[in-house]
Amino acid sequence: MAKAHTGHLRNSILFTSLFIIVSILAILFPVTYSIASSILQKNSISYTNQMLRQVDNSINYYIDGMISVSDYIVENKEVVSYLSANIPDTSTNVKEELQTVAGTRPDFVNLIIFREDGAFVSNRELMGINPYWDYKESSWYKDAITADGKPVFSSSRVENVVAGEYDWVISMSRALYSNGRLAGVLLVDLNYQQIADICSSISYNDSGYIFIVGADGRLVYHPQQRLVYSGIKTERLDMVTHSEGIKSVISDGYIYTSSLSPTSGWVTVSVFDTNKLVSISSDVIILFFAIGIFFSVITFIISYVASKRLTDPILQLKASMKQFERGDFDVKANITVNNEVAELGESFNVMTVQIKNLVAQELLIEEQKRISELQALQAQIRPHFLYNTLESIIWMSEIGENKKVIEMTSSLSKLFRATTSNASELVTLKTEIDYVTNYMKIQKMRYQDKLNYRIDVDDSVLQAKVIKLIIQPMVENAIYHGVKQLKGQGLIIVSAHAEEQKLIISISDNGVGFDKGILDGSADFAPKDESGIGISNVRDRIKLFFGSGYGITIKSTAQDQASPPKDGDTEMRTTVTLTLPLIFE
Amino acid sequence: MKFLDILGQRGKRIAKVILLVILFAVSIVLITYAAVYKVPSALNTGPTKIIVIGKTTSNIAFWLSLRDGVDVAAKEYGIDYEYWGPDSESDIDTQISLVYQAIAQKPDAIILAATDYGRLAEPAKAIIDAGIPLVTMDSNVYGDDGQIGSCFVATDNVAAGVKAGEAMQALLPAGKKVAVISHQIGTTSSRDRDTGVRQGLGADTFVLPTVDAAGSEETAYELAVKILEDPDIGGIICLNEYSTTGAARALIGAGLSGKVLLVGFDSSPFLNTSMEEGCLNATVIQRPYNMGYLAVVNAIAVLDGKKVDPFYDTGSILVTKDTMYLGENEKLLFPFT
Repeated sequence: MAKAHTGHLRNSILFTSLFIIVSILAILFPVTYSIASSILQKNSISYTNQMLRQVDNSINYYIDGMISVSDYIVENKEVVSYLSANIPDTSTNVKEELQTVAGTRPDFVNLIIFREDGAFVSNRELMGINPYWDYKESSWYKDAITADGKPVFSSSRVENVVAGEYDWVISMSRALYSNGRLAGVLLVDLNYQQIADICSSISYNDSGYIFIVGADGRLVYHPQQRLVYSGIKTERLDMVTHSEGIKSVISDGYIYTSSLSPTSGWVTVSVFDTNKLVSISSDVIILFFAIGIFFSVITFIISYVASKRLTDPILQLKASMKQFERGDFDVKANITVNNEVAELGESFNVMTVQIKNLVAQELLIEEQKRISELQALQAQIRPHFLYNTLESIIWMSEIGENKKVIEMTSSLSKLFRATTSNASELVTLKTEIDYVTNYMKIQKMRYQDKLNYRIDVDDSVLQAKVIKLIIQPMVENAIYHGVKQLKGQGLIIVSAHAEEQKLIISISDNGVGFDKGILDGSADFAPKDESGIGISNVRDRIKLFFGSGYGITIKSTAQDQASPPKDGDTEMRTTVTLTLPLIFE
Repeated sequence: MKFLDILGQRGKRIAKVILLVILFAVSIVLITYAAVYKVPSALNTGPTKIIVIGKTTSNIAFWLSLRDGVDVAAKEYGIDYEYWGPDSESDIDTQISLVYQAIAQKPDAIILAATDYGRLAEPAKAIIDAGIPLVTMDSNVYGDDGQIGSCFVATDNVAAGVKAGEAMQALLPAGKKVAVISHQIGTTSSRDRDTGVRQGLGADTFVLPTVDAAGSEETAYELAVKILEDPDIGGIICLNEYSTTGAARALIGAGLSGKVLLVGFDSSPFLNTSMEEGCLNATVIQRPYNMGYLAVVNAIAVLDGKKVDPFYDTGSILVTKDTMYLGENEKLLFPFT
């Protein structure tokens, strides 16, 4: 039961610390997680933008290359001369020029000038122009005418203008003028592989890719172009922003970042799947939970040890206190730890010692008090009697009754020896009766025939233990307050017998009897006069010694002042009964 | 612990506690690290491995494109694959033995394009019996209870055949006969296309019995030369790329290019030129790239325990000279590698 209580204390320490750590983690985790995710998202956007700019730069390198090549060709004297269709034919020189230019750029597939009259010059030796198609119907040609001398860029396409060749290219076409008139079209084909390589080389840890939308809205490049075309994959072209600068749109966890190239009209788009970031974060979640569990375990262990260190001494202290409660004043709390509880234990120890001392002191005082009281009570008897006896001795000496003086003095001597000789509080009834007898002898000598006495004690109780000097005061009272007042002869009977494990000692007299007030309890035996002193002393001593179950009872025929008892009246009017436990050692 | 004496009794105890806590912390961190980084990889016994058995390993455009699709899907889903196949589509025995070799390697799944829908049934059943999921593509295999594989990814060949037949029917002069050259009569693709072609031509058109090129362009050429001897022949329909190529060569050789109609299947640089020239009037192109891609995707779906359709139609497109360079057609006719 004590365990259960201390268990509460330890458990509350444990659970409080666990609660705190779990709460901290519970708050910390979502906050950290959301901060981390937003940082991750921000980082990925900036990373994406960086990548996108890089791709843009690479693509622009090719685009700008094509434009500068076309600029060079347009201004080239040989070309100008060739376009004017002057004689002599400068096509060989033009071819050389084209070869020179193409030589610097191995990624150029075709550099072809188509003259309006159907003649053409290419940088390479060709099988010829594809006879089955009229190139003037091709969009690159028509767009170039429409663009009025500005370079036009196609999407990715199959170049079918050269017989027997079907290359995937990006085409730039530009209308050529001679003397203000349309003289031909320049076609520059860039190997599509170049663009595809740039784009496919960009991979964001499998969580993103890059695609390019041409000015005509068709896909220039897409890593899964064929799947997109056949509808197996769909691309969110609505997410593409056709405006200058880099813009990001986020939808369904996908970040679409578009970058428009003003020269080509292409939009480079990077797609980044932030859902993949979440899958990266699952590791973080596992890690976090592991850390959480780790800290919880650590906290548990630490608080277990700490609480044990705290509660163990408290338990010890509690056990000591219980022991103390049961009355073991010698208990000592042995607190081995070094903290406030130890101080508490020290205080407890000091307290127990103090209480123990106090109790011992109290007992001692009580004992001393009792002894002194008893002694005082015993002592109270002496002067009373001594006056009277000494008065009697004086009186007898005066009348010359030497023999009686000797006898009386002898009895008095015995009496005093009895009171002083034995330090023990308890004496046998016989000793007490002897004492009373001696006393009676002295009194008999004083009162002569006026006082008669009889001792009537069962032999069986002679060896019973009684408090000394309890009968004599009763006899004394019977003499002074009962018999002495009587005109005729007085009689005092002292008897003792056993009754139900009690020793009953009766002192009866035929004297005048008690005051009415004392008998009915309206007055006490307060020592207002000599009579009260004796009875209350004896009563107090009996009660002190044997407890409240024992004491004195008085039976008396009420004193009647109007008709005092007559001479020769032997009716025993008063009986004082002492009730004591019957003990024989 | 002598050096700790300087700390005194109390200090020593604290030092021991700290040491224990540090040891405990380090061990927990190590365990966590292992749990996070090592265990998943330990549980994962390498990437999924799929063996793809095609009809041929030769440089036929169709199969190259299909292999591209397989490759793209494998990269996308992070799986390992091997592409196997006999040199020739007619080498059925080699393909059968390849199937058994594949089973012995215990891959996670097998993708098969059967060179013969009957003879491959037994090996295909062996794949299933070995507990290996089977996805078929291009040409199916059938057992007594029907389709053996979990999923068949292919062109709906009957529908494709109908497109070819209808194109021929639209151009065919009245009263002229049509010949059909199959590439490999035992395959489902041949059988189904033939059925479709005859549907597309309609009951009124006179169609000669289908002849078998048996996996060889040369045979197709010879068969076409023979067919062209008949002056009533108005058109030839060939059921795959090399049979079409053989017939085109025969037409050009006989000077009948553009005069006798030719409708084929699939494409190649040669067939593209033939189409530009007007020799090949129309061709039904499939999406081999998608077929390869989707076969892998479906195989992965089967491995993931997802429900897959028993048949996935990758579709077909009829291409004529006018539509050659339009959108998807351009990509299909001129595979970009």
